Amino acid sequence: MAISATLALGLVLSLLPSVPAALVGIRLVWLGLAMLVAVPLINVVDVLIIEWRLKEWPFAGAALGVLLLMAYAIVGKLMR
Amino acid sequence: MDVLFVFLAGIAAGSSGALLGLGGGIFLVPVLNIAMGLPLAQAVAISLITVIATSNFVSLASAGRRASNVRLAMVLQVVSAVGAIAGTFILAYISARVREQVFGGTALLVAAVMLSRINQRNVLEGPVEDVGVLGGWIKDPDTDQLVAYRVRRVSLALGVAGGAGVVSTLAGIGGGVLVVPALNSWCGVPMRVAAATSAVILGVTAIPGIVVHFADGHLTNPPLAAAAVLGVLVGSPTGFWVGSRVRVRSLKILMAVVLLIVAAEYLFFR
Repeated sequence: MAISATLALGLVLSLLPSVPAALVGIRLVWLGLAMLVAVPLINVVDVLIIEWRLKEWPFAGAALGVLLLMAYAIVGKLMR
Repeated sequence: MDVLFVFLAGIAAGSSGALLGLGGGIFLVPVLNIAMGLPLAQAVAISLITVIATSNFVSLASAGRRASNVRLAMVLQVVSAVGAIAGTFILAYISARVREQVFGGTALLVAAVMLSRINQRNVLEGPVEDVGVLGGWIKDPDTDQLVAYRVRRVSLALGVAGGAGVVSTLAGIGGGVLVVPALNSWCGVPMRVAAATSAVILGVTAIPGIVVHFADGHLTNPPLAAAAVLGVLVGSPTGFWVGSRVRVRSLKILMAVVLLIVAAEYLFFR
């Protein structure tokens, strides 16, 4: 809901003829996109916590592996 | 006008994605690239963002949470993430046409497999107590009973997930078009579980590709990406609603037809 609202508001503002409003809109759109990309990662963290509490180490390890791979993909590429 | 067109395309992509366990990218990339004339890299970047939007919708919707096999998704996600990262390195060494041909050929193969196994049911008959480490139970819409399934050929599922990760980054799709048929046709996973589980995997799989395209400056029009995402979020509930009321066999036929159309497009019409 928050992501949709942010993207929708940002999209509408970015289409306005007013330059300041459009700039705010673009920034809101980027914020919404960042929130969108964060959701799958948060879901993986959620799984990690659940499986850790259940002491299901293989699945907790899989979740941790996914997070480490994503950290490599994000940090490695952005720092290139 | 461009924003409206992309929004409508997003609705179509979201509906089909939620219905078939795809990210919708196989529809969106051609629309953005061919119909709108966006550069392929930009179309791919926007498509990957909508893949995450579809994945988020499925993973957050109650029906999607019930149907998805989270443990299976987590195991497959490790391999698909490796594949997606590998795809970011491969991207620099092959042409766009080669990527399209590889994907078209794969879609054709998978369509053939799905049609050859159209009447196969992946539920275990009779009372079942042990569904294995990765198996589970789901309500069968055809019989309205709780039925069990056991995941077979896990190695094959891992291989397909890895390949789907590579394809995701190269072609701007989620990879569900490969994962869903493989899980359903070869690994014993019921169609609805395969679709929901695949949708969970797609979100993470798309991230490396998005990061590369962002770093390479391909996301030059974020409002278009926002319009596509909002369209997907409008279309996804429709796809889910239809999917929960359609017979399994019909979903398989629809999936196969989609794959054949996509294969023809990438092999002969690009």
